[in-house]
Amino acid sequence: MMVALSGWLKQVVAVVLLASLIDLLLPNRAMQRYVRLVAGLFILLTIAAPMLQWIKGDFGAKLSAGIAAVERQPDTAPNQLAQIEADAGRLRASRDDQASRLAAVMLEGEIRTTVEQETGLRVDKVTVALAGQPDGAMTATGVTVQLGDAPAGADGGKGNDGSAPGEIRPVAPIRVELPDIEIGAPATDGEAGQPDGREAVPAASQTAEPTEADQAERNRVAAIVAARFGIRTDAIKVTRPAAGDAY
Amino acid sequence: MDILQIVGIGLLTTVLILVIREQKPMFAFLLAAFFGVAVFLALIGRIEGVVTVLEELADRSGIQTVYLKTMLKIIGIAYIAEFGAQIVRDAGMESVASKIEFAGKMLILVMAVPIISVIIETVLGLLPA
Repeated sequence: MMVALSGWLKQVVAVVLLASLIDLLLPNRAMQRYVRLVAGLFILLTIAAPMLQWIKGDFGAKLSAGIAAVERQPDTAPNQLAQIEADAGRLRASRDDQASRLAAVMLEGEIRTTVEQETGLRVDKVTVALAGQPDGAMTATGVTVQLGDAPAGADGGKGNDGSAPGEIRPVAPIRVELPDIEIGAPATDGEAGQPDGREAVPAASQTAEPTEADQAERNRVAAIVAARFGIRTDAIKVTRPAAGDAY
Repeated sequence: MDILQIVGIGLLTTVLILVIREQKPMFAFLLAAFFGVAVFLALIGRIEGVVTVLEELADRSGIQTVYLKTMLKIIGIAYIAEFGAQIVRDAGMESVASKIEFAGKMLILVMAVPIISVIIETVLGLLPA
């Protein structure tokens, strides 16, 4: 109690000192009455400060806000408007950017889930490029679906039957052929992870078929994405890392 | 030292003005205005020390900074209005000078509006509804 009282007394003394100093600093008598009025109001405010804090919690902030509002010059209003508009434009751009990124991430997740459920293929990566329209809407301008290393021969052959999600497909019959010397050599660079000549032969035997099956599979993936998400087919790319080419 | 320089330049300016005024009153006015601006600008840097001390005092005694800021702004308004009014008065335009002083007074009073509103709101809050 005594601490608060001494603090209040100190404030009153300081404000009175300040007021007398201001009074002393005045250039002439013409302004003296006005300045004395303001200084007297400040002294009154300081004396009544404990009561003010008791009645209205934060009168200091309100006073600061009021003085700041008074100081705002009306002639700078156009500048302030331009400033506010520039700020609003910047905020809007950043918000749109965030929204498009979020939408792209969610769309990628949806496409991945849909493709995996519909086709049973493993999807490594989906990239969606969004572009804003003048009316504020977003359009997907490019979708790249990168398929994983799924067994292309098995899935490609059985892909068009529209199988239900999660259905277990029968394993395709595996043919083992004895290697020939001359076709073993080019197959090794196609299947880089299989330096063994014995395993390179099925890869070599697939070289004729997989392009067709692969294309059918990619067509199917692109058709699913186009049908489900309303994206133009020519904006959809389906890639496979081993094949390297895009459809 | 500074005051000697300022008084010296002031005396020189006065003599010059007295000489010129007979021939070219316009240049006499310009000289007076230039001297006023020069003195004002030369001494405005010195105010910084005073303001720093005042801020320190306000900080130590715990009074709100908004009080000090408002007081200093009032002083600034008073000085600038007085300065402009005197220059105009030197040119013989008493009516324009009084308008400048009036503007200064009004701006000082406008600074008091938030304080008055806070006090009035408090008093009204004290009264039973």
